[in-house]
Amino acid sequence: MRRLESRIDPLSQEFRQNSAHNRALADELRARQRKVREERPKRDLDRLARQKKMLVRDRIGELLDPGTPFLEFSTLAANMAYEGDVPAAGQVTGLGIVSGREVVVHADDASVKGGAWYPLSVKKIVRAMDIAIENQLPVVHLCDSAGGFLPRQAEFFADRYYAGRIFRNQSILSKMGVPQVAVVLGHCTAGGAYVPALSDYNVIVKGTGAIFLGGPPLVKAATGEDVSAEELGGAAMHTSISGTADYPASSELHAIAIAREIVGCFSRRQKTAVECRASEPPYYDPEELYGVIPKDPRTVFDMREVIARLADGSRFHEYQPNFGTTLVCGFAYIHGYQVGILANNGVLFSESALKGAHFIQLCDKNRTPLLFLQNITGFMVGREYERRGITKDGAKMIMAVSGASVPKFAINCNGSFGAGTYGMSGRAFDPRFLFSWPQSQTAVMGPEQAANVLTDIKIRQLALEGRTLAHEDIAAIRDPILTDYRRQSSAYYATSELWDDGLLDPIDTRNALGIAISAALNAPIEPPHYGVFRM
Amino acid sequence: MNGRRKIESILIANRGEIAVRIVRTVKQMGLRAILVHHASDADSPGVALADEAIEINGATPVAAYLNSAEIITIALRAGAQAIHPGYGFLSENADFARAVEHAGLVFVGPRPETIELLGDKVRARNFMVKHGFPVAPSAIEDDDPATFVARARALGAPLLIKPAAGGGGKGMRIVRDMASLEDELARARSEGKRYFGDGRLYVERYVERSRHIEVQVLGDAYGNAIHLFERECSVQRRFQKIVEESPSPALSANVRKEICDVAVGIAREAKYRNAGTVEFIYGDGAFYFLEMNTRLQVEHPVTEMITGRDLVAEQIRVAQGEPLGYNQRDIVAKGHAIELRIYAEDAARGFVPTTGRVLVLEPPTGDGIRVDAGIRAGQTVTSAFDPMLAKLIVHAASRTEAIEQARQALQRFVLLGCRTNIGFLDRLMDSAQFRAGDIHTGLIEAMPELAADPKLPERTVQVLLAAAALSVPRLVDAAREIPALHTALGGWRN
Amino acid sequence: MRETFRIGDTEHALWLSSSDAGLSVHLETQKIDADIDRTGGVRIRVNGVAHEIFLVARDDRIYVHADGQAHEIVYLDPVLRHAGDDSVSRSDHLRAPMPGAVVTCPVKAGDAVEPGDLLMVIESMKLETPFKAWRAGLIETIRFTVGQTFDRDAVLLSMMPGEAS
Repeated sequence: MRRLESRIDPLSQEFRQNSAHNRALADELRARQRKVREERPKRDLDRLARQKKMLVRDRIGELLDPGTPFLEFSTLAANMAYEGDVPAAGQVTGLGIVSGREVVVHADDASVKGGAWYPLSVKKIVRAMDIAIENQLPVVHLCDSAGGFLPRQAEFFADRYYAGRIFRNQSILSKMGVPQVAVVLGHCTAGGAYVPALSDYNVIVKGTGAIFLGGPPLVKAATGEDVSAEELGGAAMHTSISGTADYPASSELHAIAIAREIVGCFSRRQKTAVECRASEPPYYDPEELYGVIPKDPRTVFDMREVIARLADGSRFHEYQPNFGTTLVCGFAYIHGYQVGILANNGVLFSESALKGAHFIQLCDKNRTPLLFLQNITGFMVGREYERRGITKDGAKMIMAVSGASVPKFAINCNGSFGAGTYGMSGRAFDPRFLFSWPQSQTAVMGPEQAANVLTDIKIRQLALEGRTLAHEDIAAIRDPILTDYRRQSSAYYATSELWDDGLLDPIDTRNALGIAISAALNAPIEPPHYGVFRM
Repeated sequence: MNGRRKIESILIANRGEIAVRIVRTVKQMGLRAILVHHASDADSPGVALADEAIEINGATPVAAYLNSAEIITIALRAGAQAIHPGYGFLSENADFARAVEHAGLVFVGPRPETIELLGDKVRARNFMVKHGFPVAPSAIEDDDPATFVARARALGAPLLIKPAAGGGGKGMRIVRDMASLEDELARARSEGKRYFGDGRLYVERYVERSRHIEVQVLGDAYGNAIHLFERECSVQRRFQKIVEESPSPALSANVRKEICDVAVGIAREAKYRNAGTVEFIYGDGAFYFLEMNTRLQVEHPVTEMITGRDLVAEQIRVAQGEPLGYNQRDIVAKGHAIELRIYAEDAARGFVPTTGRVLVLEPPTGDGIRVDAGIRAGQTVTSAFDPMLAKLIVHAASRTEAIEQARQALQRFVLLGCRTNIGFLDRLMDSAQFRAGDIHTGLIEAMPELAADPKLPERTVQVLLAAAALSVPRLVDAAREIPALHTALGGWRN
Repeated sequence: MRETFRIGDTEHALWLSSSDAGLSVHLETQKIDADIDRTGGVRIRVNGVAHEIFLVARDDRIYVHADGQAHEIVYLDPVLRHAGDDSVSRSDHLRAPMPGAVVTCPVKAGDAVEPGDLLMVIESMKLETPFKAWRAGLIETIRFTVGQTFDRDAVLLSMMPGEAS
């Protein structure tokens, strides 16, 4: 397998301008993440200190094996919701190593609104549990929550994938034989009580941990009974009388030590084997990605330059190099794992869609995981293309993506719009993990396009009424639409809504993918089979 | 018992290192060694070495070795002609010596009458005074109980209160403040009753920075008595000896001759048979008789190293009725020997006794190095007995060389599984005071910093932590269970 | 969570990592590459420098003779290390699993016990059950004497950490 030849000049002015621009975006991402992870109002930190509670990230730090990576999901969840008052949606989730085993960590952040569950918190937890199910990963829950945020209950309670889905997912994970440990480090009230109850094992801290369907205030209101939290649902009672909790712990560190020991007892299953070889770093410096990604998202660039800075040794075996050239397909290795890469070099034509559908099937048969590097505005439109069957060829690609049994991974590198998102394994197509780069956008169509279309409709509407608009008036209609669209198609909005599993600094992508692929291989790969390809 | 009596097998009524040491000589002489032992000593090296090992019982492990009747019965049944009592236990018990002889067996030691005379501190002291041997100013209760306290007070502080029936440093109390004299006397009396069955006391002037000098003597049944030079045993802690050496760095040739001659004089006057040791206190230019031990002493190897004589063999020969066969001129001392007592003690924590299973035992070997060990690898050290595990004896041409040799031997002495005082002994050997020979009975108390664990250099800590971490199998396994990718990525975070 | 080893009175935190190159010990301030060769004596290589040592481990205690000195290093199992974090669990209770009577009790208040020492034998439903000390400590109180009967869950005896004085 040969190394890709890079054709860009790292010394060119274009490269250097891109680099400065993208580094600034990466710096901004890190700064915003740091703020979300570390900055809290003093009164919240004081309250935790009074309660003798550790900060959630310190708890996770003690839980994980030292010297191992932690891939955190959706750090910036809810960053554009609830007035930014609920950093990370009050949850920390991610992939880590505990006692040598790959696990999903789900932790309530009691320093944010007492760990209360907002609608996006629930969505984040459900997503973490979905990841556990799809990849058959054990889960460690670090429970410390005030319960659901009642003023917004309509947004997190009743629907199919709302709060109930957490408990349904826990049950299904258990049914699959994948274990969960819950560590009760604070209150688990009402629904929250089911997290430890539905976990195969749970540990509870004396004095601070409690499990009850109704807390002392609710019990008092309902029956007049006066009872303390410890008496109602504390460690001593649940570990020796009700049997709801398994291990009493005398401190948070004791509880975490016990949890680690429990995870250490989980039997390790054989992971799914895929083609592997010895890992090597890319030949081209991954930091050059900053210079490759254009500072104007509308500028076209060659995705091979991205592949060259992600793949082992910058080596790439391109499939059908001369056909359907707007979709680059081929094999590469990332941290030693063989992957089949699909990357966009322009809009999708029939040829590229067919090539994509074919390549996906090749990878599926070969048991090669798929990596989608998205930079797609959509499929080609126009009379000639419709006559040649662009719609049904797009459908074939979507059918292949949907049916593929191998794990799929997607990175939104620059933009992911309309049906192109579908063909390139967007969120709805169950990639095991989907990450976005800071400049990327996702929407049904590009902001300018959308603004133009909507403004156009308005102008025609007014024309029918006999009115014409001055230049400024058009701008007055167009600009708010543009602003709104830009806002809602930004990477920060997408990650806020949990449409992805987090924003990545481009240079972190290689490591994130390595960890993700390794995690994905904990689940078996089904034999390939598909629906009907409209021929 | 006069006359010759051929001994073919000997029963050894002792344990630990002395049992091994006696068994070794017995076998070297072509005789049969029979060893009695308590069940808790079943794993000891003596049991393995003896020709026959017989289990003996008692209410406590110590009581087993004090079970006179049983020991004599076993000796008769096993066909032994003699019993060697070692040191401690029944070795200075006149009743036992008498019972052994009554049973028709040979007691390897002095006559019962001699034991009685010299074992009673008061009688012994009177004997010395009567025959003109130097004694420390003292007040003996028995002389006149009514005036005892007044006479004691008249001696002036500091005083040493001793139980008349005691020995080996036990039950002694120092009084530095006369106001507490009556209290201390009362306590010493009750201790004497409790440990020795005898509450009688006597009081001596206490020499603060005294040196403990003792002389090894040997007598036969024909009136011959010689000395085998002195040993200095000043390095002590709470009256327990820790380091002994010969020759004493304190004595000039003249004083040495004087003390040894006095010791032989005492032996002759007492018609002493077999091996014994006369202990003196030396200080302020004068020496006084302290006590005589009518047995083989723990530190006898020091004398054996410098004179080249096997004292246990001499004991057995004398017990058989043989004459010494040589005279004083034939005893020549060469070089310098030091003995270090290795105790199961934690020096850093107040010398508290330690326990544990001896997992590795590799004593040092080489020219001029002798190790008398009472334990072997795999044995468990318990608190049932005295904590002395072994004796390390070195012999070199000069004191300086002997100290160097001692240090190297101590550093090469590997004993793992039970904490010992080996590190403390090494630091003691290295101390300026010991090197200068500036030793006295208060030395160890005056240097508390020797007992403390030294601060370990960074490099050593690293070696220890690495060795430890790699020796906990579940930690190594856990590290190997982490997938290679994650180990390579280290603490990466996105 | 790092692993804790105690040398003397000092605790040291460390963790291990393993790769094709071998094992590494990560200390507070540095990483040590180490391996032990046990063929004919023990040689430990620390950052390339070999040291001949004596090394034996038993339970969670490691004994090393290095540089002319004997050392004892204790591995503190994390669960045990944090178990006594709150003062409540400093006193342990032996509770009766069922009603019965005390048959024998060879210990008394103030006694020091080692793990495995017999504390009490109870009789219930014609069956005798012995209870042994679950860890080292001192007997604090004994609530029931020989012959006395008790109910299920009754505290029979309490222990606390400590050594005989």
